[in-house]
Amino acid sequence: MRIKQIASLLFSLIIITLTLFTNTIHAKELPINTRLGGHFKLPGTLNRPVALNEYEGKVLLLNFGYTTCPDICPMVLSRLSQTLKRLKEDSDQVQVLFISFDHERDTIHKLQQYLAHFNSNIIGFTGTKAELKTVAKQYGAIFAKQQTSVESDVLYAHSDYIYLLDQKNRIRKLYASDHNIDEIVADVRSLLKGQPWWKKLAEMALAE
Amino acid sequence: MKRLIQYHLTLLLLIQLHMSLPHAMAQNNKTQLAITNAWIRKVPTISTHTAAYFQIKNTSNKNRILVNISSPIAAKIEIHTIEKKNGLSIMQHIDSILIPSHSKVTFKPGGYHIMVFNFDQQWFDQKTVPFTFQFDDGSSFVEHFIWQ
Ligand SMILES: [Cu+2]
Repeated sequence: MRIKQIASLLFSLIIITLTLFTNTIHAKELPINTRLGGHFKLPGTLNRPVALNEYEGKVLLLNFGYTTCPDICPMVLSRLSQTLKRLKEDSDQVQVLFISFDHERDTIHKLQQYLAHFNSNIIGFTGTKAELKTVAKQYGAIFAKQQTSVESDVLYAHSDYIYLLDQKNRIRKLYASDHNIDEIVADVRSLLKGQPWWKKLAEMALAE
Repeated sequence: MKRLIQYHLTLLLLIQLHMSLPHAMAQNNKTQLAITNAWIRKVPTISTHTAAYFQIKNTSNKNRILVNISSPIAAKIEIHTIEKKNGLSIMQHIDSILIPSHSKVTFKPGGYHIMVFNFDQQWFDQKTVPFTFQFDDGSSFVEHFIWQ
């Protein structure tokens, strides 16, 4: 009886110590962004409506842009395809998503051709003006037409963040368009590794 | 006799000076304003616009102002900068750009760029694309950009 009690006490102590230990180590763990993000389902380059939660279990890199964009969007997409290359076989567990807010000019067909230039695995989305407005609002993405004399030359002023989403589709980090690729690769890897076994054990024990 | 030789020598010197003068001036343009890392983005074939980048170094004692860039690849070419404002990236057309004496200016993605509207895609087949740089003093030169 007594031995059992002592053993149980010891076990609890170990768990508590481990939990405290992990909490200090994991102060570096990427925080979950609770203000931005959320589910969406939009016409996608898979020739059907594609829902975000189809990619649960994968680490996601999401960006908003438009195909006529001459400078920032190609830069971001080529950087994201470099990121995938750097991740090597781990890139199987990563999905790059590109949402075009240029509903007037960007069709699914156009997006397919455009994205294939950078990486054949990138999934593109577009939608109606209202649909895109809703998703942009969820993610805090902004875009506004810039004035031009010629309609075909229309350019957008837009936010150009790269969003890092975890396996549960939660935003874990926002990067500037020219953010250091090494850091993005490291962050993706940290999400892929997930939690160490002893933290999982500690969480399970505490939940009981 | 001595005089004659002197006269001929002077003449020779003058001729040489005369011949080397325009040459030296042409070289000044090239050596005092050096362009490096000139590239134009190989955008997907469905793209209508593209952008080109380079670094320019002014090794002279004079400030230079780049007033225009043109190329046979497109009728509409502008010098752009990107302004960051409240999380927005806004492309702005600028009329000219100062290349200060003894310093360099870098055109790169997300910053200064040559904006190329509705370009002629036949240029994809060429190794390089020529761009003409014009300065406020009326001087100009051509630089070849590689697709990248
Ligand atoms: Cu521009």
